[in-house]
Amino acid sequence: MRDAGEPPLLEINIASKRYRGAGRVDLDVIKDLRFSLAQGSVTCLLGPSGCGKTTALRIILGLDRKFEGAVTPPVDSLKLGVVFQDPRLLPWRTVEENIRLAAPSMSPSGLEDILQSLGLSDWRAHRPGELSVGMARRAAVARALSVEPDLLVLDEAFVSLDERGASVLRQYVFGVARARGTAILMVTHNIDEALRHSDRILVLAPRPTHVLESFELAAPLVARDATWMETQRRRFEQVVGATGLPQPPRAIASNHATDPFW
Amino acid sequence: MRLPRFAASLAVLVILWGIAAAAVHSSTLPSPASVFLFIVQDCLHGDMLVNLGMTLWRVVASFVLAMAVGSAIGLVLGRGRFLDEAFSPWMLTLLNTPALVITALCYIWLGLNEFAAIFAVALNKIPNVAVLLREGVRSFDPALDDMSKVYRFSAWKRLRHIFIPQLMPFLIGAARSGLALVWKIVLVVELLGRPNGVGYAIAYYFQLFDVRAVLGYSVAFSLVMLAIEFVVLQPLDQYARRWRTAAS
Repeated sequence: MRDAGEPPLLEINIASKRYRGAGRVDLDVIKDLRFSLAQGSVTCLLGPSGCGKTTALRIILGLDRKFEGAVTPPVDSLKLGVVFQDPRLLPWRTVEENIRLAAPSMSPSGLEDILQSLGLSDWRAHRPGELSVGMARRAAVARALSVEPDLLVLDEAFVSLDERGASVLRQYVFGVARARGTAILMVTHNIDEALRHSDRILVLAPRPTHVLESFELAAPLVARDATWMETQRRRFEQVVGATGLPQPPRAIASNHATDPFW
Repeated sequence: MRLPRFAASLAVLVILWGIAAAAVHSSTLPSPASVFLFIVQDCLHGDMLVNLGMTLWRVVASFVLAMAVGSAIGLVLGRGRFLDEAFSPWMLTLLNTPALVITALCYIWLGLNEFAAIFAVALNKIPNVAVLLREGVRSFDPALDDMSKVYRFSAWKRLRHIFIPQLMPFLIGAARSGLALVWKIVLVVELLGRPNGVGYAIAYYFQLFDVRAVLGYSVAFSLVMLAIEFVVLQPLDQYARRWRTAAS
């Protein structure tokens, strides 16, 4: 967590984002979405399906510049690591080449360490088409961490993985990022994941989205045991209830979003 | 198709040709043996090697020109909707203009010379390459483009690692179909306005009603083009698709 008074890593101020549909009908996707990201913090965006989370992430990542507002400082000045929902590995390059293309200055020992930690050592010379979904996701994680990012964006990075594999991967990603002081911005539908790993959950409104509530989680990670999780879940339900949104499913133990609203 | 199977298929065709020639027993359908004998004799004592060489030069020159210009146009049209809308009708018009018309006009406007011949062939092929490459660009995976932007790939890195690999199947498709089309058009161009080449020779022997020589030239140049297909294009195709093979 950052010290009080330290300037934020990123200030996000999206006054408006619209998509022009057929017949020139504008669709307001985001309206007054404002929050900041502190260095070393973990912020989770949680909102209904289709509320504009991915659009917000694209703006924050500098992939969509057609919006009113500003992201400061310009995201081009930061080193970014992203784990998208799909791994987005180059299918014609090996695992090692995919990582090296993103992080060309990475040392051989650093590369070996990360491959070893993610169980990819034996697969370094294989192409993504030869990997399982889980391995491809781990390769994407390896690529994101290998750039030693200032900001790591996780866009539903652990969906479609078995719970055990997802849990191991989460521990690794959040462990490395916390140790390095990397800020994390994540989108997830898994409330347990959000409660266990975040410093703050931003509850987003349906489209046009904005922050409805900021749910702070101050407890250190080691103190987040089952009892703490249960207490926070109840607290979180009360906060969501106060916003007027339907309650998210109580126990999303799975990594698959099952509720059409959330 | 693997070379042994291809050769076996070709052998069957030659056998059927031989049977038909024996059945007809006429100079209008000479036997494969007599045609191959003509090829050998004309290579040793005639103009066949010169004519094959001239045609091959025109094929290579017009092919390279068409691929370079067509690819550039295809890339521009694929990336810019306005330009695509503005120039697609031009491409469509050129695609549907008979090769003979383009050739005749090039000879009239540019003169009966080598440049006009090569330009005419290239002009026939350019829209075909451009349309194929435009479709290639349109099929780019935007997710990979996003990834390359997030990880700050340089323009060269994006071209080499993102765009060219996605374009390769389209480039090779354009090259393979292009080569087959180009050499046929070269023959027409030579027939109309060049003093040498396979097209010129075929026109000459056609006037003499020498079917053996017409078939001899046709077979000889087909063999050259098949060699290019097997020695250059197919290995290139396999190289470009090697990651797909590994994935399957």
